[in-house]
Amino acid sequence: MYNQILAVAKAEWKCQVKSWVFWIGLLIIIGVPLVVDLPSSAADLLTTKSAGICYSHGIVMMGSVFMPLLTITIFYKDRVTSMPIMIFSQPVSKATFVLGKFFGMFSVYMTIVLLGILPWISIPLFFGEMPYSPDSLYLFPANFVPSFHVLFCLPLLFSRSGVPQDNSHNIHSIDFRNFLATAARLCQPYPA
Amino acid sequence: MTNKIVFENVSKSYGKFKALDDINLEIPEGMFGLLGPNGAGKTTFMKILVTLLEPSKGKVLINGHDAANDKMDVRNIIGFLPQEFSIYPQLTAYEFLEYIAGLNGIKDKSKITKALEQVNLLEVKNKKVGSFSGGMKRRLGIAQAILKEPKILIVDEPTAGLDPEERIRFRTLLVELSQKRSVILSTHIVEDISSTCENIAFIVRGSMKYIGSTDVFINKAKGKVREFVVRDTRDLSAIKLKYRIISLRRFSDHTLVRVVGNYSSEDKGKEVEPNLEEAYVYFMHEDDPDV
Repeated sequence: MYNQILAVAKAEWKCQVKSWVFWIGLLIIIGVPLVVDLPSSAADLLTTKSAGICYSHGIVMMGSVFMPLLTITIFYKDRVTSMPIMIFSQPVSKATFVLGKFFGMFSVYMTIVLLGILPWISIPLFFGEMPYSPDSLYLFPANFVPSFHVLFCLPLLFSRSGVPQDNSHNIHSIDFRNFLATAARLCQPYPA
Repeated sequence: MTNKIVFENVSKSYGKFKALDDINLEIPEGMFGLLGPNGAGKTTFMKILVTLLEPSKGKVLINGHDAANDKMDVRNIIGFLPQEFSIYPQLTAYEFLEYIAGLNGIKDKSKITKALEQVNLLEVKNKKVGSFSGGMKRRLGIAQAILKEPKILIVDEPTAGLDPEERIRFRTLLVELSQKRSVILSTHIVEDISSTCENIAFIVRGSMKYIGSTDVFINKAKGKVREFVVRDTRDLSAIKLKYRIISLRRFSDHTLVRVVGNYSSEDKGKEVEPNLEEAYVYFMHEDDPDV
C-alpha cells in the first residue's frame, strides 16, 4: 500500500512540476513576497521585523491562492484524461489513490516553498557574507512547512503597532540594496 | 490452469434503464469478441468484468474470484484497455509505465522495457505522451495492460479512431498477445472481429443474441444475402424499399447491390455467401418485420 501511495504521489509530483502552473506559481511565490504588504506611507517604517512580516505574509498569501489553483488542476487533469478508469483497473483502492494524490500535491507545494526560500537564504551572498551560521540552519526545515509561516506571521501581524520603530530605515529613504540587507538580517535566529 | 470467465444471470440497471439484461455466458480461452452496436451494453459488460461496476443482479466469476467481492484479486489477473482514455500528457511513456508498475508492485524495471518493446514504442520511451499520435497512445495503453503479464486481457473498442494501417498493426498485436493469455475484444467494428476472433458474443440492447463460433454465426445468415445487378436507377429505388442494402458498387454500365433480408421464391437476384458484416446486419434486424 505504501509503495502504491508513493507511486501515485511521484507521478502527481512529476506531472505538476512539468506543467506551466507550477512555474508560474514558483515565480509568484518567489517574487511577490518581496513587494507584498510593504509599508505604503511615510508613517510606516521598514524595520527588520516588519520586512520579515512582509515576506512571510506574502508567502502565506500567495500559497493560499496557489493551493486551490493546483487542486483545480488535479481535478481538471483527471477529468479530462479519464486516467482514473485506467488506474482503478489496477489493484488500487480509492483511499490509496486519494492519499497518493494528497502527498503528491503536498510535495509539490513543499518544492515551491523550498525553492521560494532559496533566494532568501542566499541574500547574504549578495553582500559577500556567509549565508548563515551552521547553528541557524535548523530554522530552514521549519520553513518548509507552510503553516509555519502562518504561525510565525499572524501574531506579529496582529501586534503590528507594537513593532519597534527604527526611523533610520524609512521605506522612502532606502534603496533595494538596503532592503535586501535588512532581509538578510531577518534570517538570523529569532531574537529572544 | 485455464482461464475461465462466467457470467451468471447478470443484469445491470441505471434507474429504469436496463443496460444488461440477464446475461449468462461462459467465455472460453483464446481470442473472444464481443460484438454489438453502439449503446448495446458492451462497455457496461466490460466495466463489470474489470470490477469498475458492480452488477445489479447476478454474479461474475473470473478464475473462481467473484468480481464484486474479490476486486483486488480480479484486478491482479486482468489487464484492461478502456474505450476512451488519455494519459497525463506531461509524463513520458517510460514514466507512465513506471507509474503503473508502482501501482502493481512491479520492481523489475526490465518489464517496462519489455512491454514497450512489445508494442513497438521503445524508441520513443523518453518522449512525452502529449506528443503521441492516437495509435501510439493506444499501444501505450496496451503496454500498461500487459505490463503485469495478466492472464486475461480486456480491450474495449481498441481500434476506434485509428487509421487503417494502425488498425491492422493493432489487430496483429492483439492476436500475438492472445498466444499466452485470454483476450476479450469488444467492438462495433465487424472487421476487427472477423480477422481475429474464433468465438463471439453478439449483444443488442443489453441482451445476448448469439454466443458461439464466428463461422456458425456467419452460416446462420446463409440464404439471407443476395446480389442484384442494377442498370436502371428506378430498380435501385425499388430494391431500397424492399431490402436492407449492405453495399453498392458502381461500375461503368451497372451497379452491384448486396442486400440482406428474408426472401420469397419469386425474388430476383443471386444468392451469395454472407460475410460477418452481413450476418451482423441480419441479426441486428432479425426481429424487424421489414427485413
